[in-house]
Amino acid sequence: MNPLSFLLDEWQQRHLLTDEQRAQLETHERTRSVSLYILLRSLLYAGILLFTSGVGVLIYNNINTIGHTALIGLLAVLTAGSFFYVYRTSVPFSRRLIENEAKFSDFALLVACTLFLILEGYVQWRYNVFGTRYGLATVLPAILFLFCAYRFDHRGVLSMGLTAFASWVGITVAPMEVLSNNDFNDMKLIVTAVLLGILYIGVGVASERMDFKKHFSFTYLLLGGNVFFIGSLAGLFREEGWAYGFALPIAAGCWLFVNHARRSHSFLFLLMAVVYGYIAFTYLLFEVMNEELWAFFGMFYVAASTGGVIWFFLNFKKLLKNREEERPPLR
Amino acid sequence: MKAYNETLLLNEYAQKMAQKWHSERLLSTEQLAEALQLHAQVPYNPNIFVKIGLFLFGYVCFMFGGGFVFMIVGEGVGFAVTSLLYGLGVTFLLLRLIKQKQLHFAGVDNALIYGIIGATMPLIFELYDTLKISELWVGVLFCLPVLVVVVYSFGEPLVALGAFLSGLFILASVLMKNPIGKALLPFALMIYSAVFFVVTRKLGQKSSAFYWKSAIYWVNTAALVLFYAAGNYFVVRELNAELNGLGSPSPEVTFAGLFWGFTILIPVLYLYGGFRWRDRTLLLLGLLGIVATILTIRYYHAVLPIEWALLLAGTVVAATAFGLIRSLKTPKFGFSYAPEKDNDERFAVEMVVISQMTKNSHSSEKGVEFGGGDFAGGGAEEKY
Repeated sequence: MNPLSFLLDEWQQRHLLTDEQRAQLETHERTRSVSLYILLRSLLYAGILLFTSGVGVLIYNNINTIGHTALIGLLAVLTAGSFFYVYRTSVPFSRRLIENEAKFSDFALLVACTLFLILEGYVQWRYNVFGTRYGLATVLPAILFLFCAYRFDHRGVLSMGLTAFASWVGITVAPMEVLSNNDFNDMKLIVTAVLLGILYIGVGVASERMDFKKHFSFTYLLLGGNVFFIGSLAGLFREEGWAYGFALPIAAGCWLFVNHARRSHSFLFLLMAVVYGYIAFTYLLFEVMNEELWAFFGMFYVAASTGGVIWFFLNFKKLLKNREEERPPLR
Repeated sequence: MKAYNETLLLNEYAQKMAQKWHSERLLSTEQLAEALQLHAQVPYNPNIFVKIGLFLFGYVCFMFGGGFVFMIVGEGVGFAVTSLLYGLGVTFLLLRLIKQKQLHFAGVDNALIYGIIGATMPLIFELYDTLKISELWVGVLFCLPVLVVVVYSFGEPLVALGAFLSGLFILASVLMKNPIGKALLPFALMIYSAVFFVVTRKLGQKSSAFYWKSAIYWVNTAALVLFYAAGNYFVVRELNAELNGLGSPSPEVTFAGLFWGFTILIPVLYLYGGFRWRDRTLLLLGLLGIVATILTIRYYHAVLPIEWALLLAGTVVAATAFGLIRSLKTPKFGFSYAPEKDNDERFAVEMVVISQMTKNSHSSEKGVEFGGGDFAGGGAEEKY
């Protein structure tokens, strides 16, 4: 006997179900069709990845007989073809989330944008079209991707565009490499990162407030928030006196993110605010505190404060509830 | 003793099913309301990101709390005893917390469970030391009861997996002591995993084992993976060479035909089982098994050059997936292709992957053509 029949027994005893309804539910569960959505989609991606790497190796081995020009031509045709397919299957622009019936359209857009990046790099390597205007070479894909993201309503391409734009101003926003790939010893870079973060967060909040591509705000806030908080923390950790000034933007950012999490029920932002806020607060406390004191007090402080954070996580629904009714949830 | 309140877990299951049936119009709204009222009390089940936060902070809290206790108590009664006492104290707290906040795998309880297990380890090390045992597997054997007790009372999946792997380690270590045991190792491991598979599968269908549902699922999956790995020709041949110090290239093993048979048949068996029982885990493992089998065959008998193999495999895989997506638009054989609900986790993962991909294709090209590779990296803005 499995939990299902156990449950149905109980309901039947309490006359919640009639006999035939019970039988109906049982057959329904036994014959319920299992969705292979994620499995088949991953399989499709894997197949395409294998195929393209095969083509890649093949071309690499035979580049002398094929010739670069022919290859660039082929890439251009493929890119144009993908964009054309996307354009043909697209639906008119809307400020809201678009449900596109064409199954492979969003996938084709992703492929088209990736191909464009490869093509651009190839052309630059071969013909040096951009010369030394590297800025132009990076801002071009950024503009194209952002345009496509808004026109065809694609969150994946939006994050491609935001990543490309960030690399135009010299910042890596890819979440796994924000720390390792940016040289945060450089003050100019820190300021750039913080400003870029503010810009992304601002656009994210604005798009939500103005109900313009509201569902994009998640991407903006996640990419922007990470680079903003990490940049500000890097600033805070500098030894100079005015470095404490970075505490202000961090505090403001935490406040904004907690509020946003409460309104949109996106708890990733709550987590970000708490983790980054905790790091900043603890650092500041240990900076201002007397050294002998914290040798003893440190352990206790960390144990007690993490306990406090746990308490906050377990009770935040109650704590943040009082203003819940102001605005209906957005997601 | 079960640490979690089983009624709450059953209520959670009941609410989930009631809501599902209601959305499929099998239950009326009144029935749904009645069911929800009947099963009103459910465990606190926060969003995945809150769970991550709870886990992180729970872990740090446990570690620093321990440090604080050691600082105050000192090592008066010995490190192992203090640590055990601390573990017991936390266990008491944890049980209270679970009761009060109605937790069930909410992150903080998981972190504390791992911490408590860790706190019992110094005592076992000390025992191991004083008894002058030099065999690691005996030490693992000492840990096993702790793990089993924890699995019984908490049903924590990762601990269950740990217990399964500890048993595996003990079995393998004992067998490796003599040559006959070494020769029988693959068969012993296959039997070990087969036994666990059958037991967990039987248990999984019992409503009395509902409390250990996720632990059973994890061990069941691990047993399937081990069963394939233990019979795989590549694993057997290379491990055989490694364990007997035969050097490379590894010599042919006895019963080679039998292991080739296992390598090829087990994934097929998994796929068949997945199809029969409509089990996604089995289907996935079957597919991964086929990949492993193809790689194994290629390792010893490469017939196609790599690029053509990639092209062929890619075409077959993509075409199969494409065909299945098309044909499953209308459900067949109990399978369908219906989009699942979007959620924040998926967006976050997707976004990280895509952003990472864009960044990589950027920097790898630019690394070649613009020289220096500092394009996507730091300190680049002076150049613009």
